[in-house]
Amino acid sequence: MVHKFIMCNQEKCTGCGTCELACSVTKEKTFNPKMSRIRLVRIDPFIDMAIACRLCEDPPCVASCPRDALRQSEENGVIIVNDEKCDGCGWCIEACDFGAISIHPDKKTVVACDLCDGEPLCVEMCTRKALELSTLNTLSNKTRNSVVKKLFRFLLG
Amino acid sequence: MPAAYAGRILRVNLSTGKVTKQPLTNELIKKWLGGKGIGTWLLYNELKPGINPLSPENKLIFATGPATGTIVPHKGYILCTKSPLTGIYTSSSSGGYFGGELKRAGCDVLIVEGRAEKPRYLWIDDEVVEIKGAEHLWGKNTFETNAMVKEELGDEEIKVARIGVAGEKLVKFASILNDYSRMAGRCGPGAVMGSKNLKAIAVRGTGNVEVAKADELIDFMREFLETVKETPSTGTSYPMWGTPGGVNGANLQGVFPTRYWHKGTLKGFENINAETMRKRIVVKDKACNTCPVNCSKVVRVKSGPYMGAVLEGPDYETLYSLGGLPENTDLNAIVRAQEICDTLGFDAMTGGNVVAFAMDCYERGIITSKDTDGLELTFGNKDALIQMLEKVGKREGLGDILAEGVREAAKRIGKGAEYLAVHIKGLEPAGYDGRGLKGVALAFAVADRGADHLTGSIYTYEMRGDIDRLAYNGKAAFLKDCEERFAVFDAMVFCRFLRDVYPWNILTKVIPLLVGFELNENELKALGERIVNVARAFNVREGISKKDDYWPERFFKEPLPDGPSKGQVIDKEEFNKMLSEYYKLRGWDENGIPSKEKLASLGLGDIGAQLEPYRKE
Repeated sequence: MVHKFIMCNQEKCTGCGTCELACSVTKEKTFNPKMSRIRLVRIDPFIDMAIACRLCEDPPCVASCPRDALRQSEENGVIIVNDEKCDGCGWCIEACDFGAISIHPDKKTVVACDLCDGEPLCVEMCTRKALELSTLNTLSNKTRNSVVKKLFRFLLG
Repeated sequence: MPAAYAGRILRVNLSTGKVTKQPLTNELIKKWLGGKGIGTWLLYNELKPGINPLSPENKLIFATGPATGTIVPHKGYILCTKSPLTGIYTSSSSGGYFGGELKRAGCDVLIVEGRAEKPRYLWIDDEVVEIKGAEHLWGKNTFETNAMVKEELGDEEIKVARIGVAGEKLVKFASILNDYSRMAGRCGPGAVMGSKNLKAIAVRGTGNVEVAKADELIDFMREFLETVKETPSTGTSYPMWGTPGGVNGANLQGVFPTRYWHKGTLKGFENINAETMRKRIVVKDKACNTCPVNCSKVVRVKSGPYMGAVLEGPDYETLYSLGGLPENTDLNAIVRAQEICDTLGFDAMTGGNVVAFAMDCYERGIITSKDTDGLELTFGNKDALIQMLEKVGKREGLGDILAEGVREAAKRIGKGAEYLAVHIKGLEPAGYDGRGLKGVALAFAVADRGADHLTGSIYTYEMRGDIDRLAYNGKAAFLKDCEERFAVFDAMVFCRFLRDVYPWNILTKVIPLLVGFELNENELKALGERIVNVARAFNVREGISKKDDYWPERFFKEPLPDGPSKGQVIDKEEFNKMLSEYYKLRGWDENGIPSKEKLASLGLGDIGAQLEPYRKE
């Protein structure tokens, strides 16, 4: 099973941070990057890149939880947090290689991207189309296709 | 408290170390909205006329707007202070992410007053405000300071506004940088900060920014982003070329200030235009908070003597000031020159102006190599340009005099230098020659902070031919409407570059979604008018009147010698007619002082009385 997740093309990302506020308003009805499930990293002046949950196969966050508060959805691969069980100990945060799971500032339980039923506002509002909801397979297909099109652009006109 | 505000003014007195949190009143919000509105009103009321801008009595007012921190594209904050360069009102807007952080820390407005005895920096960590020692930061450049403060506070995501060496040394046009290199650049707020012994302001804000109608705002944004995409300036031109896109147009109209305002076209401008920039040095596009336009270009020089120079820029304005004015057509040298300005922390527009002015003096023998420590300060000498900028930022040799700005430098140099010096009210103009753009001629003359292109921002409409650039007729009324709309932009803290997508009827649509109360077009226009009038009143108290609303004499006398605007001057008679018409439309008297009746009609009756001593019989 290959999951779709939100990936960011760092070459296109301008660091505007619209994705963070789109997420925060969708999930929390407020504007606050710290409430966002997708988080932007700005390394001045050359790098901007947003990171969201990559829906790993065999996710280390799930494995690391001492209270079994996390599980992965079989249907679409998102990490589901049981707020009753989670006490915000943060082992999952340590376990995640991407910093893609974080503590909710108010609830003090962890949150991760749940793909908003496949129609995330962050992707919709990314003007430069740096964000994409896709699988790694379609990404590599797309990359191959675009590089070959580029190679033969003299034929394609 | 309406939505979209944190509801608080944070006041820090560096003399006493006292920190106070005052409520941002409903009354203030309803009348002034935010940003330049609130900032200008507070500055007018809190500063006594005639104070020295570099004394503890001056204040730095950082004012965010209702859009700051929301998904509606915005800049960050507006900084209001009394300018040490011009001695009058100034407001400077800055993009990036600092403003949003300030608001999330619960602070709509930050007022810094007094003067610390020793170097200090301010640390605003949500509710906790600390004044910390900065002796170890003193003498560090802007980028070092940014990195050191973040390192010291242990969080890379903290936002830091800071000054460089130029601000410490009170270079009269020192800037305040935030984020990487967004800045409150013009008119010397960095020197005010330096005079207060304040090296930096670090902020971490983790709070929420609420709006009145979040769901409707998202619907609005969906439509708005479509409009942004379909509009040529916001959808194509700025994203692709940034402001350097203007270099071709300005040269093809002969209004690109060249050879220190003696010419209107730069031979070889193709070497420094947006196309060349994109092809040779642009590494990435960058955007301020939630902006779909990403006009900012990050560049790196990849070869040659300036290899390794890195910059967020250059912009149109620095291509003019470091390219056109000194006749420098080496793009890499421009990048290096602006890198020096940003690193030491001073305005590259005024910086280019003062060095090109010195070049003009040098070529005419008004100053010699004795004055320049042996530098061959001729037009086109790019290395001399770079070295002199460094001297300006550090106040070394001739740089110490140039660091006073062109008006004061010319006075000190004498020998006819004052005739050459180009400024209005002490501010060196932005890169549009008023001889070939008659609306610009009026706009720069009456702008609240001196020869400024943003207050009225009429240049765009003239440059792209929306209105006839050589006509005098009708410009006063057009400018008035521009000034009001852009004053509202600055109250909201919106960016000028979204001017095509924020006509009045869109402003009236988006503002209520943020703040929760309605303002119709007329009410918004009145708000804009109030801001224009309070800024003018501030200046009137400092002695400004009609006599100051003029370009230097040579723009009325010396025609542009070449290019498509060849032969153009600013016609004095026509100019005076425009000026009178403008005063009349504004309800100002013939001497440019806002009338009692006008001020009363705007609900500013008190100011009407305060201006009485400045009115002639």
